[in-house]
Amino acid sequence: MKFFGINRLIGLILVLAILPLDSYAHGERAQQANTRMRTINWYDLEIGPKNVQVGEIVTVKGRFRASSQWPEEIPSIDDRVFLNVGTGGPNFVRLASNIDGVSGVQSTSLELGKDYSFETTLKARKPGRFHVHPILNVKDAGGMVGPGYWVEIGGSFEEFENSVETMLGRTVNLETFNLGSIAVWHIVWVVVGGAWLFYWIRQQPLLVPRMRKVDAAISRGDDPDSLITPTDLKVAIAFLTVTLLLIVGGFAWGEREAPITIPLRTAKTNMPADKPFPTSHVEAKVESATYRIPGRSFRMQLAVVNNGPATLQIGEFLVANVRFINPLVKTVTAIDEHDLVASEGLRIENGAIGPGQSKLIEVFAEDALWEIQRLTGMINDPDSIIAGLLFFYGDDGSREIVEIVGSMLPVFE
Amino acid sequence: MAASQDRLRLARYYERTVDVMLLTLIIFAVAGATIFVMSVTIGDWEFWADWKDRRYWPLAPVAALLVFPAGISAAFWQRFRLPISCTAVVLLYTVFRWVSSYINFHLFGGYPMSFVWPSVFIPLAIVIDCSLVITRSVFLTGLGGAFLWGLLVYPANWPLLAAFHEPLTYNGEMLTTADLMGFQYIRTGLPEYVRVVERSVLRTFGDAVTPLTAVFAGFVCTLVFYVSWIAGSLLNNQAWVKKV
Ligand SMILES: [Cu+2]
Repeated sequence: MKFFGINRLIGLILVLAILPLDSYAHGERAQQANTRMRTINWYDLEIGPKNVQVGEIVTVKGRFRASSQWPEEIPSIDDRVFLNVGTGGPNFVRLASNIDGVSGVQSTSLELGKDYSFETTLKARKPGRFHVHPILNVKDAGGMVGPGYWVEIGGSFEEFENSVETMLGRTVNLETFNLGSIAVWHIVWVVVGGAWLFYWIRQQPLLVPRMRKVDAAISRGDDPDSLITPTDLKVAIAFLTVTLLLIVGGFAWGEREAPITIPLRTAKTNMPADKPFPTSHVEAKVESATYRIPGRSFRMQLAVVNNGPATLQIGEFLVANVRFINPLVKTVTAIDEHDLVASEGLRIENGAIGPGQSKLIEVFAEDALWEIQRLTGMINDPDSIIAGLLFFYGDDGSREIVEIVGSMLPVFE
Repeated sequence: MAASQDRLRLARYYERTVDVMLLTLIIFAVAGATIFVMSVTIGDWEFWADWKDRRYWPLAPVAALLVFPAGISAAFWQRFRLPISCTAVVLLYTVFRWVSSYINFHLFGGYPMSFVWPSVFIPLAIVIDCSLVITRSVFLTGLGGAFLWGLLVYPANWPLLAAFHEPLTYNGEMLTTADLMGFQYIRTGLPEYVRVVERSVLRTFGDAVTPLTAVFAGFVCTLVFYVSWIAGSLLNNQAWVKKV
């Protein structure tokens, strides 16, 4: 059985190691660069408001595209996925979540190459400053972590309450739900168990004399069971009876307290089956791509065909959650110190593509974020496939999103 | 005369010291080993209220928990005819679990205790210890006491657990309160689908999941008891100092 194995041990160690560290490291850079580029591309992400009081609402929403270049070795999203958030532990409670409007309480499955909207509604629970990320947990593959923003929660935890009403009309506070019964029953059993232990160990010294008597009985050829006195027997019968009666009584009490119960819910949620693949008026093909290590400079030659009605320019190149922005097309400034935006990181030569035009353009993406986000570690990965989303902006205000893929060659001089 | 009395008193003093040390050492060591093994094997069923289902939780944790108490019982019974080790180990285990839940999951992890409370196991241990005294037979204790250990874990925990299986409607879906806590109290690395809990399957005994699991758990625990007892007595005869 899988859960008796070493992976449980590793899991436990990871849980213990991650619990306290969670608030400043969500493992966003831990995965191979390659994996981050070719799994989930998060965009249009909005997390806010960024300053709230305990009990107030924060939403995490945006879109993601599941890469059509998903690595074969990594289990895909067509089995089970769960839309999650990283908030450094339960510093928020999650009130609702959805993918394309379908509730995400249960897990679901998605399709590669498709584009999804998502939204998670959080309620601030504990004061502090927390890095909030969207995450897509993929079964057997782990969490695909999106970009994070800092959210500051003010106020005090004492003001937080989390009441829900059950179908039997009971209003319960989940923060302290049923703790009374849990404590009472544990105390009852500690008392009964303690009494049983006290009966036996009240006579001191205990072990050594009893061991002598057992040895003596054996060497005499007697039954050492004679150490158990008739009183011991009576006490044992009494304890057994009381214990069984308490169990039966407790069960009956539980049944009376919660007369209607249902099993845990585990159904998988199905997404609509007929969701179309994203379409675009642009075709873009990577002719060549190089990364100059000394200059942290990425250069890519693209063959672009514009089948649309507008003149297009590349405004953004999104790769592994890092946004390289073309300042001539749009202005995007970093929201906080960990925002993965290179506001002037994208430079295009021979950029504008008229309607019906097809041409070769040069794309330069230059920023320290290549290093900081360990994307250059790709050289150490078994393959050097680069993938990401290109955002084209039309002179009529339109936006076209194209996924590109190509082989990246390092340049060392 | 006086010298021999002194010697007797000294001997008594040593015996008492040995007693206290041995008892404390053994029980603490075994309870510590138990909590470690439980954490790495069946931890999640014990850690989270939304893992306590009708099919795996009443089977896996209770069978795993029996290993050490049954093994140490063999030693305590054969050496001292003392029927306390099951209760002692499980009681200490329960106290450890409360401390660990409170510190690791409540204080550090931030989860409400309502979501991470430990299950009740002490009554099951009392049943085994009492069975040993009443039957004075390992075979019958395994057949009776250990069977009840597995059989009774669900009813013994029901007064704690029942409320967590009460239905509620949430955003138009029906959930148990435990499911809702699992959704609301965010676990980044532990998404809904990794729960090893009862799923819908084609089966004939639709309504009888709980009693069937209970009886099956009873059988499994009888087996675990015998195997652990044998292992315990082998170790006991190998490693124990013959005379103190
Ligand atoms: Cu983070």
